[in-house]
Amino acid sequence: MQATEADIRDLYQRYGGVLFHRCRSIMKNDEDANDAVQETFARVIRNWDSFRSEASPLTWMYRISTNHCLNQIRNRQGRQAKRDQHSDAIVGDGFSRPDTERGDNESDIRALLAQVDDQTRAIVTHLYFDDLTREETAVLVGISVPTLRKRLNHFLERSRKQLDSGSSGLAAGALIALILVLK
Amino acid sequence: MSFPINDGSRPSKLELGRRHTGEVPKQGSPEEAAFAEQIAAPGLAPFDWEVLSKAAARVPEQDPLMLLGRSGLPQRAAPEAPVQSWWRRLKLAWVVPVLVACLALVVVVPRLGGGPGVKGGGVDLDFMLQRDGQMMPGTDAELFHPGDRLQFSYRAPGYEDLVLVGVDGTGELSVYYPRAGELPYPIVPGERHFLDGSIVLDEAPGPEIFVAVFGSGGVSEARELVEDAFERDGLPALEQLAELPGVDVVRIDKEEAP
Repeated sequence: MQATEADIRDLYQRYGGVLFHRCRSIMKNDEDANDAVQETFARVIRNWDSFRSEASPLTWMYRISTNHCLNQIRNRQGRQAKRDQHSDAIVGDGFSRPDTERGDNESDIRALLAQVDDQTRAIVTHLYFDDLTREETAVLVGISVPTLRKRLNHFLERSRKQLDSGSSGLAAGALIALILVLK
Repeated sequence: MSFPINDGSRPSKLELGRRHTGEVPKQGSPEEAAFAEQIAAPGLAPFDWEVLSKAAARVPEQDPLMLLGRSGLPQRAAPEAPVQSWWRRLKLAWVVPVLVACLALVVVVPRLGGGPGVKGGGVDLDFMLQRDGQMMPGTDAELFHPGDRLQFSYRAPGYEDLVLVGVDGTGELSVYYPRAGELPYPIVPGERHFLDGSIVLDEAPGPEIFVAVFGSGGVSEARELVEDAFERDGLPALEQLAELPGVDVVRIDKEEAP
């Protein structure tokens, strides 16, 4: 059975705003957030039969959009690194300019996320950007809470080392924010 | 300024979203009101069935975003015994006399190669091409252009990590996976999986060779393998690396600049 325009319109009206707001908090700009919403709804259309049997459509959409957003962050970071190699003067569509302390930290945290494995990125994203509890995050990522704690500690330790070595350009504020949030 | 971890004393954004969309009952909390106010902020593109249905048509059969388990992450296959790379084993052999190591190279490597016709010792590197919004198997394209986007997939029974290195027509070497650091990129052993993210071709002229080294000891080790081969005989030597166990190679040819 295929999704009709009316089916998707209803879903878009019901879930579009929530999903957009959530993706915007990760991507920090409307365009990327709308891309994430579009790609997520494209999957809804393509996987209509299985999607309809989901107990929580929003949780399903969270998973898809998380994967999309994290891919984009990683790609963006890769492009940024390449640009930095070729030109010191480039400014533009990289990370959005921070205008608050949290904004500053979030840029650094995104840069850190681009360097870690998929599972750790998903964990940090859910805890930091989505304000999920450890238990909710563990369910969403499919691991136990103790394992989640271990992955988190490993991530914080790695971040701390990067800060100590000065190799990442990571601001101390970002690490402090991470520790305050994630510990 | 701190944002303490949500210990369950307040509803998470997912929970608020579920209440807002009516998946679970609302409770009339102040958090719900604040959340609704945030959601009402403009920015969401208007519904456009044509755009969404076209985007749906572009979703590839093996969709990386849908290769998700219940966990929201690629499902792990049943663990298989990790395979240690042959050059890692050989590296240990440097403690014995050079003559023995040379003998080992002559005798052991062909045996590990799995005989004729066994490409890369059972591993396989492949890719999808995204061009002008269309996805297609990489093998369908004869020539590639700057701006083409490649998403790699692999099949690697028994291996738990890889390093993906590219060498372009000018001889410049780039490590694509992992993006940073010395540790190899963790992968799911067994059946085919996609690597996260994609690689956009730049304007470097000539062919480009991508070498996937599975089960290497680290980025330096994989780089060394590729650099040594390239120094020895350029791009043809890189293609021959596909004969080694735990290594596979993809070559793409780029359109000549006008």
